[in-house]
Amino acid sequence: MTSTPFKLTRRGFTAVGALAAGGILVPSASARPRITFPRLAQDTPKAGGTMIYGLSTDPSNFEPHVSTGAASTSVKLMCYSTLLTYNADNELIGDLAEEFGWIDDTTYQLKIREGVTFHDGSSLTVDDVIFSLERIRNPDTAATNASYFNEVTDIKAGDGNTVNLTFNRPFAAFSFILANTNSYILSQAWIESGVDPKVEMMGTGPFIFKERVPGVSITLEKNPNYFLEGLPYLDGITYQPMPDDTTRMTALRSGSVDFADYVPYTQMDIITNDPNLTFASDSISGFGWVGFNHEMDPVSDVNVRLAFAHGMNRETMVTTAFAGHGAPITGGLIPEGMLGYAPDLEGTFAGDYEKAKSLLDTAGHNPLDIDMVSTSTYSVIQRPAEAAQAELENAGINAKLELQEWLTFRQTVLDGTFPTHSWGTAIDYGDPDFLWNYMHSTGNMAKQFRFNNPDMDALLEQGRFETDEALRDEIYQEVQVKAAEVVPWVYSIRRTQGEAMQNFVMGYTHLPSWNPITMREIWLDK
Amino acid sequence: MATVATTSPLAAGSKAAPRQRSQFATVIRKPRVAIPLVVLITLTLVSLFAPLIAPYDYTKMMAQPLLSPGRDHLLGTDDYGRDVLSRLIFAGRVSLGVSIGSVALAAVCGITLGLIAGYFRGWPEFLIMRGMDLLLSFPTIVLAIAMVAFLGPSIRNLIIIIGVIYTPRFVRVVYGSALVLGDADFVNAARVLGASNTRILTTAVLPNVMAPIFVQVSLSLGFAILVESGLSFLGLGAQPPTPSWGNMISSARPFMEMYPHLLIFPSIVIGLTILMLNTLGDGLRDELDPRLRGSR
Amino acid sequence: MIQFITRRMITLVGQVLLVATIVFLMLRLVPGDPARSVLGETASEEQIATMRHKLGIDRPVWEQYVDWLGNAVRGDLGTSIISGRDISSDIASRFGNSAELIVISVVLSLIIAIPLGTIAALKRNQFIDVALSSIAMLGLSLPGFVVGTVLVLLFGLKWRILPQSRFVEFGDDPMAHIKLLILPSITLAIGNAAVILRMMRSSMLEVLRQDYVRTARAKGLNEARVVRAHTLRNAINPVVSLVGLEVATLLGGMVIVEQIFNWPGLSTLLMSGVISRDYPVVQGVVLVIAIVTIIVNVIVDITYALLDPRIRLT
Repeated sequence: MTSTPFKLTRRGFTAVGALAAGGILVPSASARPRITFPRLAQDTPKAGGTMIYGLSTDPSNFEPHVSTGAASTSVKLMCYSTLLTYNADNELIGDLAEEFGWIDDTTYQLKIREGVTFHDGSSLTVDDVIFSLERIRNPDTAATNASYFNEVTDIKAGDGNTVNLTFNRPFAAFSFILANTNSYILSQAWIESGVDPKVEMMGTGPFIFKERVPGVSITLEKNPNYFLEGLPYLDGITYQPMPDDTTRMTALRSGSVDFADYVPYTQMDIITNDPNLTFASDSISGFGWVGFNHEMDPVSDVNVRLAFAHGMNRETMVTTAFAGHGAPITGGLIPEGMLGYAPDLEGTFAGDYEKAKSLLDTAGHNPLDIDMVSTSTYSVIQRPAEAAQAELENAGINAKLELQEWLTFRQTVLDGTFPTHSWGTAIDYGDPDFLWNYMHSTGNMAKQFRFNNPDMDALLEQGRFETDEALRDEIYQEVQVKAAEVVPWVYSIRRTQGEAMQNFVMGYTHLPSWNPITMREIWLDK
Repeated sequence: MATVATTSPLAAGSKAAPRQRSQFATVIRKPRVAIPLVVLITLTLVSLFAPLIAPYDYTKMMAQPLLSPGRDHLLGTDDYGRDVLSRLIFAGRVSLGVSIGSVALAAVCGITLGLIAGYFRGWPEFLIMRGMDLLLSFPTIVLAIAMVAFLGPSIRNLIIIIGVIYTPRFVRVVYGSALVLGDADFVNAARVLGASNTRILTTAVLPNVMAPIFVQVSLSLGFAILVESGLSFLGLGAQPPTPSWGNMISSARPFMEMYPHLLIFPSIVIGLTILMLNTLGDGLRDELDPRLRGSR
Repeated sequence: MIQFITRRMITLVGQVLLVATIVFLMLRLVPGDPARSVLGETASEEQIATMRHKLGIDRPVWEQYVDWLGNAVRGDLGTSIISGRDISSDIASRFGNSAELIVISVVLSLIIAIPLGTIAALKRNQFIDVALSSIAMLGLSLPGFVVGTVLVLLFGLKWRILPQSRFVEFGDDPMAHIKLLILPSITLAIGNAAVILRMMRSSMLEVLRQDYVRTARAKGLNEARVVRAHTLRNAINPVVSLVGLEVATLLGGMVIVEQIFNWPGLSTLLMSGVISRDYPVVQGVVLVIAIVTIIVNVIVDITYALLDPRIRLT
């Protein structure tokens, strides 16, 4: 019943120990992804105080079932709750659900916690849970997680405050979907009263939504009736949108904000060297890639795609793109610690320019001049694109880069007018099934890549509908071996992503799933 | 309509004497003209012959990133480990090209439209001036994103876009002066003598509106260098790894605190260019203006 | 005068209608789908289609146009596709903030630039003129984001005099509000002052060489009086024209300054609207900016006539 998506290795804990002792994390382009934590809270938490949170993006809206980016998640998750969530060790635990899991191959059961109340005082019922799940499933909602409910045939109340979901086939990764921050549980009565959930929030979370002034602030106050005894410790959180990176980091360093999300890589050294600040990050989830339009020549030729894969020294790319704040991906995309991690693949794509050139020769395209599109809107995408461009040049691939503004770029990739693109995002959830989106012919990304490989489809389907963990581990290793052969896309580097806070901000843990749930445990030691 | 008097109406009284060829030769020898001219020509030549002059390949990420100025890399290296000096040398191509190209376009369109509106009045005036109001009403970002959608992103189109954005400024400046001059005695005299409108505009009106145009040109040239990088996020302007002075400054911003050299060197070059352009503008105006020469 | 204003106001209606139409059509031809920006990265094509329908952007363009224009005329600019908020009220509050910042920074730059420009012209080619012109060039060559960032690092971090705090309305806390206003207005004023100084110097020189000024000087009038009585009034016209242009441009063009100083203004709203293809927001903001720009131009033209009686408004 319990799954441990990213089990911390002994190495991980040692790192934490060292960090707690030294207080400063020296970044390096180490070959392995790292999880770093702020120092472990030793003291007993103190209640009280309001935390000022410097937010990197003013949330576009609060719609609970449609993703509006990481910044707004840190607001929404404090007002709403999910059925499952993560503990500080990144293990799945129940939240609104006390117990959860598969009771047979096609039935997933949730036992809903009793005595939970919404911020308006009404009680959470099984009907609210069913309503929320149905809302996600309803195509009119256009929910981010809707497609993961495709195999669900029925959602019904069971005995003893339970909800049963019936599936066509088992879906091993389903728990992760319920723990995802776009799977909030809402009050049916509240939604049906005609409120606009884009503008207001009302849930069962640790904080109550008070007020929003666009571009200025979002104010949350402590929920005194939160279902977890003693939490939250803070009296409230005030979010201040500070879209300018320098301004946000300056505000943190000068003490006008207590906590700031998204530390740009240019400031990571400054922040880690500041004795008053703590940086909490991972170099696992965020990753970049060079993608293809498989229907276009010459990248329809697997040799050309392989040349791209071999033609980049990822180690160098981490240095040039992020000054070492990241990690190279030389094997499979599944990180160490996750089911399906393939240790044997490590080092497959170490940057072999000669091999890349001979592959181009085989394809009859040496040297290769090719157009590549990327976006200027996010530096975490633009920088790896420029680093990749420089690396590929060594391998005889002259990529002419065109930077477009975000939505134009999205449209361009969708229309498939460029043979290659450079993009980046994050691992969606802690199960290898996340690869479906990129490599299964029905996946949204795979469709944009025009990638379609029946063998790959079969493997991914096998993995998704298999229940035996050991078998799944093998299947996903095989998926990655296959990916190294047919090259649906070329993943390049992982980037460090994290938050920074004053030393007196205690109790927060950065999770590699980027789920900010541990914010509810924050207390101020001052 | 109101007149936009950039030169005082009394200025119209002075004669726009036909200039002798030798005058330019004299003017060019004046240090106030000669020095900026030499500096600007040098900058242009350096840009043109960049491949011969630059010590390194401006695209190569060869050295350690963010090196301070030193022996191997005179001006240090940037955040990708590229030689700053080489990039600065190459950057002049885009920056000077875009800046001169777009301002020339804006000046030609602006002067033509402004003269027509101010001289002929009536319908041309209404259409042109209210049209310029319209153009000014669209925020730059909206205009730019729309024009990228129609024209596609490229340096040539960037020149067109900046040119269009700056045209109303020139129109307004020229229009005001032309309005006043259209009624001036010497212009009427020329009409009586049967001179064609084109001839009157180019020989009598235009020379008298050159002063404010000079200021406008020298101000706009500087702005255009910065606007180039401001619009590069739309795919306009120099695309990586091509450098421009503007994009060197904007990419230096996150490193400002720890590596100020990334910001300082391109700023100096832009500052010098703008200073020289303005000095040249001032110098030429002063030296070429018959009234002013008399007053000194 | 009244006739002139009436005529220009009638023209204004036509111009604004034209702007509204152009911006409406333009936006729909720009690539990028609002539905995609609402839904994020992993949305499927079916979800996009559903969202397009929900947002009403799958209807014929002319139908959307008529609806929007009809409401806009009644002062209802609709609700934002992305945030679900009422656009008219968001624009109203942000317009106030923008206008405040622009007016203060422009006044500040006039206070700096007019006397300095005059001095530079009077002391032409002397040390003070060269020094002032060089400083102005420096101001011109430093983009706002550099000046702004330097100010934030110095005042916010190093000296901690003006920390990056949360925006407060003047009514809620006047002192805090004024403190917030200082750095962004200085940032904007530096660039503007440089431009105005250049224009002031040039037009002052132009006037100084006129016959009547020479006559006044020849009559032995005190220099300060000559400047005050005869030249300033005549020299200021191009400056007025320039200020008009700056005000219009700043309203939608100071995103970076607004972001660096967390100033909730119109430019940021416009920018986020453009980036997310929030059609009604962009249409609304452009409409407001167009009206203000055209009115500013009318005011500029009237100012000419007030400053120079020889100019007739027709």
